[in-house]
Amino acid sequence: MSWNATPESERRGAPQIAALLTWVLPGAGHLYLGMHLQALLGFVVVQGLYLLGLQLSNGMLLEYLEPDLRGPFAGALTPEVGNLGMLVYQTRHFGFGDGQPRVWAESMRLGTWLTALSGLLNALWIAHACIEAGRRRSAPRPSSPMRLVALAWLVPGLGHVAQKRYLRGAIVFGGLLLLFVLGTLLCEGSNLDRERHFYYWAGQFLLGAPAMIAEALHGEMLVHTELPYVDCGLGMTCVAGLLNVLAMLDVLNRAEELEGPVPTAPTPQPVPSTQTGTLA
Amino acid sequence: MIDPLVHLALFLVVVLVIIVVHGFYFTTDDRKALTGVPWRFARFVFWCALIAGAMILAEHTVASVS
Repeated sequence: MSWNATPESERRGAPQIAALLTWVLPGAGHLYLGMHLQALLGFVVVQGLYLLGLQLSNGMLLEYLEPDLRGPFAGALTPEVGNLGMLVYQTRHFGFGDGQPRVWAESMRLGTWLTALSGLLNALWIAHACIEAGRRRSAPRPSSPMRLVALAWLVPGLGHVAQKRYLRGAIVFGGLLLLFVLGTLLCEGSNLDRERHFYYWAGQFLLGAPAMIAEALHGEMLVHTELPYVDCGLGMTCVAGLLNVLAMLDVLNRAEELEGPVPTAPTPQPVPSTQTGTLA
Repeated sequence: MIDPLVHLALFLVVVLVIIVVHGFYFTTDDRKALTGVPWRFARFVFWCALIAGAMILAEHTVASVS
């Protein structure tokens, strides 16, 4: 990847520091790189989404967890972990409630979607900061590949289509949708409920719009009978989401390749010395 | 009632998608990625079967719980 190929002395900053700062506080990594507008944009959008989500869900996200799963690292496998600072704030401030079951907030689903989206967006923002940090200070800034990666998350295969890799895009879309639909049928829609399957939901959220639309339409399915293949179904939907991460990385790698290798500074050629010796 | 054959069929579907997406990730050439699917699929299933066999063997011998 091109950000790795740039010599350290010519980079805008240390990619690791930029990534770490963004993880803890959205926009901080870009501020460190001197990209003030992106820093402000990242901070407002990512934090705004999380705070709105927190407000809508009354901070009850972690109360979805069964008592035996509650602990300081309970949120580590959720999409919200992409926005670490806010997740830590939520865990410390709201935690798991007062131990007594409460009625869910009216906009619970929307609220938890927004906090998850905030985490995912910040993960993309971390990657953006990392790539920008690795670029040359004087190099012109090409369009960011993160837009394509965001498209690839939103609809599996769409990032490939935007790169004119139609066959690949169609196969990724078809394959991942096949897994998701088959899994959802086996679970009879019970997989779409975050309250019921907290961690599997986190996996399938990575599938983007298909998972979110399905949840909006059938997210409150009641289960009346035993579902013999529910484990297979949950595995399938979760794997579909995780494989979409691989597809997103494929889009990112291709975008970086198309950007071309980082031009290296010309090395000074040795000047041929004039011979002053006597001729034989 | 769980049918092992249905489980196996579902597993093979998952494996197929994993192999295809994984193949795409490792090569930029679509044709090369697709032609490699059968061999990668067979290899993946072979190793899974080996691990499953070892687990079943362990379950019935050293890890047997009565």
